[in-house]
Amino acid sequence: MHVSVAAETLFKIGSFPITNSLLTTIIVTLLLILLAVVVNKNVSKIPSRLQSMMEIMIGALLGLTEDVAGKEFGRKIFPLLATFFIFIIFANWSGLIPGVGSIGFYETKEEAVVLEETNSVYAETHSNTEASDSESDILVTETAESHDSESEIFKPLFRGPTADLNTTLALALISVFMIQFYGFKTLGLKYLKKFFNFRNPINGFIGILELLSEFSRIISFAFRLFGNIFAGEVLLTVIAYLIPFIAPLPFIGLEIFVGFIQALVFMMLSLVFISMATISEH
Amino acid sequence: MEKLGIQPILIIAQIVNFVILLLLLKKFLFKPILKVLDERKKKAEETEELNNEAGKKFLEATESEKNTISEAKKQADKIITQSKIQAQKEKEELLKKGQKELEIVRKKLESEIEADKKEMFKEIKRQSAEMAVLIAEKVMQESFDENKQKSLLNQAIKDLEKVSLH
Repeated sequence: MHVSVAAETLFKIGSFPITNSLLTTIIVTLLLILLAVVVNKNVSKIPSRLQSMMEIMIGALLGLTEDVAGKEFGRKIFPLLATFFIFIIFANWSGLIPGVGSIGFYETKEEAVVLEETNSVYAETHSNTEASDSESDILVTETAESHDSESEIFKPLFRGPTADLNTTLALALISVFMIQFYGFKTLGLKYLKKFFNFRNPINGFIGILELLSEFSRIISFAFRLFGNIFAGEVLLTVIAYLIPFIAPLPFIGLEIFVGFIQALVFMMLSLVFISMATISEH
Repeated sequence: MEKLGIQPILIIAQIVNFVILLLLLKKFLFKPILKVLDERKKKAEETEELNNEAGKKFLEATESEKNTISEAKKQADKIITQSKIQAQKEKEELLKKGQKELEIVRKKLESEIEADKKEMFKEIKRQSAEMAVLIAEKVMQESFDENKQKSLLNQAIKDLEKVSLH
């Protein structure tokens, strides 16, 4: 059994690493775009089945957004929130498709080390040979633990996009950035008062806390989604390893539900934070 | 950071990916679907309004229809009663006229009959007088002289004149 918190690098284009989760992200994105184009092409007043489904989903999301943020402002932020929901839910569910995480290939340790090493070089630009040595040591011990000390390690071809912290961090950064963006857009410089208020020390302290909470939102957004989905995938792997037949079924059902709930939670929290940021305090 | 697999370049890639997805979904999915939804909502509202209006109009129409019918009934009743009255009047008039004419004719007839009657009695009187004279003459010629004849004749004529005729 092999479980890796980090997404595995499949190959590199120049120095740009293509990880299995990025590959899956691109596939999911392309499928969603394809879906949108197909719906757009056949859009009519008398809806087809596909269009009806899209209408129900978009109608429900719009209703939710308008309920929280008001009719006019809700319409403005709707595309962002709907894209959050749609992308996250399909990313979550893509990790549950049979073959994702189980189809892959074996790589010799040396190849893996080279790939991972260059990754880390890319990430932190260590030039010392010492550093890379110590890193390869870590990797060796890791793979030794997880792969029965064979000379090859397994690399899945696909991985759920939201089971990769890069994806969830990217989403969290977009969400928090957009919260600040809409705060500024509607309140102007008044928005800064929330963070930098020197009229009295209590407000000043609260401002610092507010500022901190904005940054902690990035972390909480990213790790909530990642934690739920990654934990789900680990759970499914473990169950499938222990009892391969029938037993994983209820857990797959559970993970489908979790995937939906996490997408909804991410969207709802973004929605609530954005509408909170647009309300002036006094 | 390495153990969690966080790489800034991948985060940037994911952000770019998401932004592209957002723009394309907005253009190809949200806008057309929202347009259709809005149009449908608008149309539904319009239909609702039209329905209400049609219902109102129908009610009005039935009301006016009822009114017309009752009006027509009233008028018909009026006409019938009027014509009845008229007919009655005409009948009465005709009857009166007929009676009057009848009266006139009767009076005429009556007077004519009276005149005839008078004429007849006159004739009868005259004739009977003549006859009586003739009879008397005959009788006289046989039993009386001329003087006696004359006095008796005068007496008889006087008596005759005294007798009234009925």
